[in-house]
Parts: sequence; structure tokens; C-alpha cells
Amino acid sequence: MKSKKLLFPYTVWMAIFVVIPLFMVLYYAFTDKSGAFTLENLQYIPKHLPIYWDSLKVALISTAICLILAYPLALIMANMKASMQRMMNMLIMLPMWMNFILRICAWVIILRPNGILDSILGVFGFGPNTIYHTTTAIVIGVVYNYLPFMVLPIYTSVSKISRSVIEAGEDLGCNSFNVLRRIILPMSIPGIVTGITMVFVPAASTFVISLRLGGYSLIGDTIDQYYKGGSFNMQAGSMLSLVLMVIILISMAIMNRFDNGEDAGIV
Amino acid sequence: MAEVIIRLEDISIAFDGEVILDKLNLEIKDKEFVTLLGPSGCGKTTTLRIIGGFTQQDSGNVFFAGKKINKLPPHKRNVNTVFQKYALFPHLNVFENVAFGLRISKTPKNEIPGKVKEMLKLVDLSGYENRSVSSLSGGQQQRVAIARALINHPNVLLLDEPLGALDLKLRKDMQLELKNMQQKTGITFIYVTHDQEEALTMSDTVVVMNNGVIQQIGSPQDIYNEPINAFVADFIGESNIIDGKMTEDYSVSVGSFTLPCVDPRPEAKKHVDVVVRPEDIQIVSKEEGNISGIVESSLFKGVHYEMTVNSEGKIWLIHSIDSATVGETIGMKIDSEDIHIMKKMYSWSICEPLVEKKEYHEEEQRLSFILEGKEYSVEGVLDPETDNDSRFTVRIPPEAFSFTAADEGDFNAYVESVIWKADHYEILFETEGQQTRYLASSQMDEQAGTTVGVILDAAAVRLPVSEPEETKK
Repeated sequence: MKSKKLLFPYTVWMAIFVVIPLFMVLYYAFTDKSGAFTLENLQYIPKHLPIYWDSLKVALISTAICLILAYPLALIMANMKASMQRMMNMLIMLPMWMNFILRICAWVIILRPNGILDSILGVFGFGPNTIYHTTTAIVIGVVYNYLPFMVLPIYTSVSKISRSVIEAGEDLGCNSFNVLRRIILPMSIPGIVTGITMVFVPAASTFVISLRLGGYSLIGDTIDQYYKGGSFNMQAGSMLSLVLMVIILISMAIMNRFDNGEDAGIV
Repeated sequence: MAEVIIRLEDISIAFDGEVILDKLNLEIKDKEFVTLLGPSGCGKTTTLRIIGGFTQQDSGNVFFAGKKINKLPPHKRNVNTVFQKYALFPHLNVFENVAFGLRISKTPKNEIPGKVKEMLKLVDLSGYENRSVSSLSGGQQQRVAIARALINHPNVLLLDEPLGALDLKLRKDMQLELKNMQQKTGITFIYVTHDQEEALTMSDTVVVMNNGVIQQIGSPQDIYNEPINAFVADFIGESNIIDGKMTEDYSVSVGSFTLPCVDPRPEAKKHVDVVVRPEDIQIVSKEEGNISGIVESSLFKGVHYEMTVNSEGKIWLIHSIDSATVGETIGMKIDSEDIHIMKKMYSWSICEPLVEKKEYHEEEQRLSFILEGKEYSVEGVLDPETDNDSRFTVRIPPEAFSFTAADEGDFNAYVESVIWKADHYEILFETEGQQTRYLASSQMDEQAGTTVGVILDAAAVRLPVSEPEETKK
């Protein structure tokens, strides 16, 4: 069939860049340097448990903050005039057109000792260097970087709610708080789930942000270091990647259950 | 009579400068089935939304059981709505959709299942409690929407074209069911539709609206048998609407025929609309009839024959169980009480707009003036008195207008109503800028509610000077 032929290049692409690397990770995780099967690499997991925990903590906090910031913003956007909505969409996406590393460097300039933030805080008499190289700095970086991924799906799902459904709620006795709680919130759950997934997954494996702003390694940086330079150890890196992947898959499965549950109309 | 539950007083509203409702006054009695009927854009849905509290009127008052509720938000009004596209909550199942109102009103948890069951039984949906609303058919969704709106026992139920999305058979069944539900529950129903048959079938009272103004309020029988003007006659069922002349009471002439009627001459006006329902015309021999004509077509419609008869260029529509042969000359007999005389809807038969004078060439006896932003030139002698004024009125006969696509004519206009008058269309239109109304007579049909281009034949325009001249002679 014609459509299958057209699909061929993509199949090859997916095989080379997705399926084969996945199997390579699996292979390295369970072999030693000579290529023989071994379970020895499992020893790296307990060693890195605190780092996993730190990474998950940062990811959870950042996702929560993103959700708290994004939801009201998405609601406000959905109620704007169409032209303003387009403009807001643009503004939210605009920073994403710039390289991610550059944006993090900008945050370094803001947060570093005697940087922009310090000089502003100094005016009000706060001590220098309060945020740089702390977990707070990482959270700021992650929230800044991934906020659009939370806003856009929520905005999409909220703006799809038809005016008449909201009016039906008002008609049946809802004040504006009840409209939000009983109609808008439950109907925007698919958007929230997508948003959480799109923020939590990259946040859990984040690197560069943690090292540059937080001054310490999260699991992403740790894996990164195993794949290069002095501490080169593909086997350790692969095992840690595999564990991270399993964690992310489990959390995504949990999130998806929420989404499906709502679709079936079970509250 | 029952007490008035909802009263609208002088309600006006405009969106983007366009007037939707113009000083609307309406009283709705308790426990009645009232239908707001009219073509799209007539303001019927807006009226409903004002009663529901979803739209705020610009001026005027809304009273509920004698209390003014102008600023009361929808959730505090004891009125519930069945929305046009149902507006069911997609995240809730049938049970929860129906129970929604109860949960909001903090009904004790143990009472909810019983009440929901009872309501689902009323709308014939027992056993559907756990179904997702998206798995229901259009008719079933409709029933859920009705059950949801009725569960809080509102005093008034508003229904916004609730059957519009259903197919004909289902619609007919639902019409009867809705009527039964209304009688069973004793709740006042205010029903919006553009379907005249639906309105006549279900209602106790029909309110016919057009262009934001109520045309007629009455029982279905009154509206059908005694339409108040040509618009109502045209909108409700099929009618022959024909220009007639009355020089005395109880007698009207149509072309060269004179027909006896039971109406006196309205307000000493000569020009009237004569309305005759097609089923009120009997086919008789040429000598026996009040009017004669040649049969142009005859179609068998099952219950009756539908015939068109040409009488002096006017096309009459007849529904009769007797058929006539095409080409035959027949007589049409109309009982005097079946001839309805109506005052012309718009008092002018000739438009007299105020125009701005541009230039007057005395030797050529040619005058140019500006109407609706367009310059026209017309031959004629200008009255010296008018000569000094920069503005004056001209008379435009309805035949002087013709229509084309929007932006293609001299100026654009919005077609308000189109009525077939047996040998021409009577088209009422309104210009965009100055909002002046004009009446045109045309051989071509136009679509009401659309914007068209208007071409004016300036040669047909009569200047104010011509009349004084004639009177002098």
C-alpha cells in the first residue's frame, strides 16, 4: 500500500534513533566491560538513591509550582479576546525559540553572587548570595524553562470548554466558585495531566540547570558524567538511565489512570 | 386567569450598534406553555437569555412573580434552561448530570438517587444512569438535558430550540412528550423555535416576533386564523397575501374583482393587504366564483391538490380536495369571513427619505442629490421654497429599487423581510449607516437576514416639486 511505503523512512528513523539506542542502554546495563552478562551494575543503584530522591523532589516541587502558576494564567488567557489570546500564546512561546543553554546562562547572570538579583535585594538590605547554588535556584530554572509546557495544554483544554456548558452550570445554581470546581476543573483534567507529564518527565531527568544554577549534580548530570571524560562508565550510566526510565514510565502510567478515569465519567 | 409569573417591561438591547430587541413588553402567565416564534435573528433567543439572566438588557425591567430581578445572576433565578445544543457535562455520567442541580443545592445525599430515578423515569431514560453522555443518541441527550433542568422543580423552564438537532419523526414524538411533561409538572414552559408547526402544536400561547418586535400574541388558533399583519400570515402556514384597495367598509377590490369581506376599512386607508389561506378557496365554475383565473399547475399532495391559479397576473395558491385541469379557466369562491383584511405593515407605500441637495442646474432643470452616500441626478423643476434648503424629501416608488450582490450596488442594505405578494415580492430593507427603512417591490426573491447591494433608478424618483404643480392645474 502507498501509505506504508511513505511510512518507511520514518520507520527507519525510529529504529535507528529510538529503538536501537534503547536496546543499547539495556545491553550496557546488563554487561561488563568485556561484554559478558552481569548483574554487577545493579550495585550503582543504591549508591545513587539520594540523588534519585533529590531529582524527584526537584521535579515534584517544580511541577507543583508550574501547575499553580499555569492554571490561573491559562484560565485568564482563555477568557481574553481572540487577538489577545494569540498574542499571549506568542509571548509564552517566544523564549522557547532561544537556545536552552543560553537562557540558563542568563539565569546565572541574574542569580550569581553580585548579580542582578543580589544588587536588587541589596537595596532592600537583604544579604548577598541567598539563592545561587541552592535547590531554590534549580527550581527557579526548571519552572522558568518548563512553564510553557504546563500553560499550553491547560489553556487548550480550558478554551475548548463551550460557553453553554458553563452557562448550564450557572443555570443549575453554580456560583463562579462552583463553576470552577465542578465544571472547568474536572473538564480540564486532560490538559492538566498532559501538562504535568510534559513538565515532570524532563524535570526529573534535568541536567545543566542543576549543575549551573544549583551547583550540584542531579541524576541527569550524574548520568551525563558517566558518559564522558574522567569517570567514563557506560555500564553505570546505562543502568542509572534504565532505572530513571522505569521511574518515569511508572509515574506516567499513574497520571494516565487519572486521565482515563475522568473520561469514563467516574468521579 | 392565572397570575403573571414573568413580565418584561420595555426591554431593549443592541449588540455592536445593531438593535436586537426594541422596547419589548411581554407577560407570561404561570403554568402556561408559551412559544416565542420567529425567523432567525428576530430576537427570540435573546429574549430567552434575558429571562434566564445570561444576557443583560441595555434598558428595561424583568419581573419574576412581581419582583424586579434585573441584576440577579442566573444561579439565583428560579428558572432553568434546556440549551440548544444540550450543553451536557461531558465529564459526568447520566446520573451525575441529572443530579448536578441537587448536589449544588445541597440536597441530602440519601434523597438524591430517588429524585434522579424519578426524573429519569419522567423522561423515559430509566436504566441509563451509568451511561456516559457521549454514548447517547441526540434524542437521549435531549432527554437528559430536560431531566437535568427539571430536577430542581423550577417555576419556569426555558427551552432554546431544543428539538432543532433531531430528525423529523423524533421531533414530532418529542413535541407531544414535552407538552405532556409540561401538563404533568405544571411548570411554565417558555419555548423558542423558528418552526411554526412546532409552535402551533405545543403552545397555549404563541408570541410571533420579527426584527426585535413582537408582532402578535395569541392562541395558536388566533395566530393562524386571524393573523394581525402580512408578516404573521406569511410566517405561519401558507397564505395568499395580495395587495388590495378599499374604498368603503366590508368590500375590497383585488385587481378588477370586488370581494365582500367582514372587516371595516382600517383607519380610512385605501391600500390594504388581503390575506386568504389556500385551503379557504373553493373551486367552482367561472360564473359562480368571486374571482376567476386560469389554472397554471396542479400537484397531488396526498390529502389535497396544490394548485396555482393565475388571475390577472396574480398567482393564487389553492389547497383543495377537488382538482382542476391545467389551462382550464375556473372560478374561486371565498367566504367573506375567510378574507382577512390587514393594514399595510409599513404605513408608507412610497418611501420619502430626506436627501441632501448637491447641485441644481436651473437651465437644464437637472438636480443632483445625495442619498445614502451616493450621488444621483434627476430631471425636474425644483420648488423655489425647497431651493433654499440643503435637505429635502423625495419620493421613491418601490419599483425604483433593484438588488444585486453586496458591495456591487449603489449602497448596501440589510434585508429585513421578504413577502410574496402574488405577483411581486415586497422587500423591506434597512441601510447600514443611517438605518433608514425602505420598501421595494421586486420580481426577484431575496434572502431575509442578508446584506445586499441596492441599485436605485434615479429616473423614477419624484421630486417634491411635482405635486404642488399638479394641484395648481
